[in-house]
Amino acid sequence: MEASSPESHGTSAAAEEPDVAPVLDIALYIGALLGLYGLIVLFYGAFGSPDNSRSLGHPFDLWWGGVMLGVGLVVGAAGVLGRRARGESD
Amino acid sequence: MSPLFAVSPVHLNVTAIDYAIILVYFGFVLMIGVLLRGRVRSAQDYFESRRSLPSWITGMSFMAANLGALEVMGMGAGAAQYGVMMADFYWIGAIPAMVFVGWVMIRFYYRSGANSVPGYLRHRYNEATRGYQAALFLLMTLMMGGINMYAMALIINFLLKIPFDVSLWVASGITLFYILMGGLSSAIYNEVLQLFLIFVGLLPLTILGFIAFGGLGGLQHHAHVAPTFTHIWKYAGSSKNPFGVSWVPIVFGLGFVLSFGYWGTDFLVMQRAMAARDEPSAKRTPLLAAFPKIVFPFLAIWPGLAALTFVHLSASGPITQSYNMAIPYSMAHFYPSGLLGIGLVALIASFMSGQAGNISAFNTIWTYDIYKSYIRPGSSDTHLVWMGRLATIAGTLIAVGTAYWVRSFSTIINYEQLIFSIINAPLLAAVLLGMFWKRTTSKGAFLGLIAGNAGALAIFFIQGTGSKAGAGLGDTYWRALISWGITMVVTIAVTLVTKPKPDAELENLTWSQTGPGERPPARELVWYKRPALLGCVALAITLGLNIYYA
Repeated sequence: MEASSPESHGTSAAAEEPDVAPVLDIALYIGALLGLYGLIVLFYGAFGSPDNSRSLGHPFDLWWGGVMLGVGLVVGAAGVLGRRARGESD
Repeated sequence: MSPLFAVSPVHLNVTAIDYAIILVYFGFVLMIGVLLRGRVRSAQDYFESRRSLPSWITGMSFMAANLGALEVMGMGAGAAQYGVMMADFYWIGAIPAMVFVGWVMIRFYYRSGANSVPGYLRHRYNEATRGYQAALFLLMTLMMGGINMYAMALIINFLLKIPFDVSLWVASGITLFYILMGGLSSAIYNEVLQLFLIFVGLLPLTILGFIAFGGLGGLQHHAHVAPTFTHIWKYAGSSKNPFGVSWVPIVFGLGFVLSFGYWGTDFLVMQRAMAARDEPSAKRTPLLAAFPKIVFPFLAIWPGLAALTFVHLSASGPITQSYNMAIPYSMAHFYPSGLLGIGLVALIASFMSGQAGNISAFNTIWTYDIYKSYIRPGSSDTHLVWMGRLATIAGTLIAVGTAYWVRSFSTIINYEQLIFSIINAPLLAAVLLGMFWKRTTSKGAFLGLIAGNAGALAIFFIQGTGSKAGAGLGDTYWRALISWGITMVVTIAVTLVTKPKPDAELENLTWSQTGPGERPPARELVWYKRPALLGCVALAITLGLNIYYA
């Protein structure tokens, strides 16, 4: 019983619906969180009072906020494109 | 409250923005748990994600489940204590094993139709071997979970000035909640998110560390470390190097037994590969995970080394002076507010991904390999999900208890390797013999495992039971090698005098009885998805790094 059920389920499900939608579009959530973090840190770096002497005199909040915002947008866009591609194949 | 507040050699400045960043993170992981709640309709959903996930998801999760708080902090601590040799744990002690697991071992687990590694042992050997290993695994998972939680609470306590008990209960409570809701899927999706956060939170530290002292030569100058500190292999000809052991135990003890044992038999990581949607995706899982794993030493070792340039740390003494604080101190030293919040989220995320790995593996082994097999066979699907959720709560509570117990130990960092050397090393011998020598008998494997576990324990006590003795790296490598050897010898000896299983019962469980396997779907045939290519590229990069930092 235990031996047969997962095997048959796992393989046949994959073969019948190869482009089955993932349970959750995690890329969208990762993109959203990184983008939000990017904005928070970027704004804090620009308008807050970060102690840049810690980061060796460089405005690291600005830099890294920008990087996180960029990565967030790329990952989020990949998630949107993935969803759209599946929509077309359906 | 605790003596940890008393003295800190590093000035800390956590502001409202950092707390806000941490609260946003908690909000996201809880939300993912809630979103997945409605998707759990069967035991297969809850324990195996219905075997439906693409390999990029399972691959990242495979890597993240391994990246617990202890792994992140331990690597930084090890770098501060042993120097660049710490990269051995990755570039010899992980990548080759991960490639081998993807190329060779995954297919047996995946095709056997088992739900777990002990489940495979039942198909290949017998019920007794499964039961014995399932029980050992549960014990190990709770220990590791407890150590991981302890490390986490300690850091939160120190960095955020939140009491130890509050940090422990809140962080484990949040992990408990999202696994309770969405089961393995929730653990895996959150692990992917957490892997991103760990990288984003640690990378600036590497960059700042590098700017601060400019390469290994500069480090040697600034931190006044010995030349042996900045090479992986140059001083490994003898035992006169920071590890205190030569290349022989490093390559065979760490590089072979410990690492193949962990990556090839530990259900915590294997569960992620087994959740992949088809066999090619399962094979690709550890191969894709190998790439972030190759990069990770830069994220942990550099910050760990950087700590040496501004604070004096040691192997003994109070925790605030210990190597374990290398990465947290580096963050406190280099990160301005804002970035500090991101760094703290990385540490919390690493704790949660490790914790979720432990708990989701625990509830599966308990429910399938103990409860359904021995306590109530023939339970309904709904009942199993209910039992899995109960096991999730119970496992979390026991791990929290273990965290309080671990708190009374003086050193924590090498206990992870200690436990692997006692439990995973003998299991590796039994699994490899089972997969590659079809004659291997059930009695042989069972007795071999008992002999190997007992032998490892005996060696541990002979090596000494003091606070540090027997948990040293060199001791651990040798113990792993010897306990693996004991299981090999005993299993082979007993096999030769007992009756093997007929071939028909070994279909897809052992090398000579394995067919060509599931044909990859058309979309899997693109060149960059081929296991051979992915594995070769990972191995080539690893070889290059070993040579560059030799």
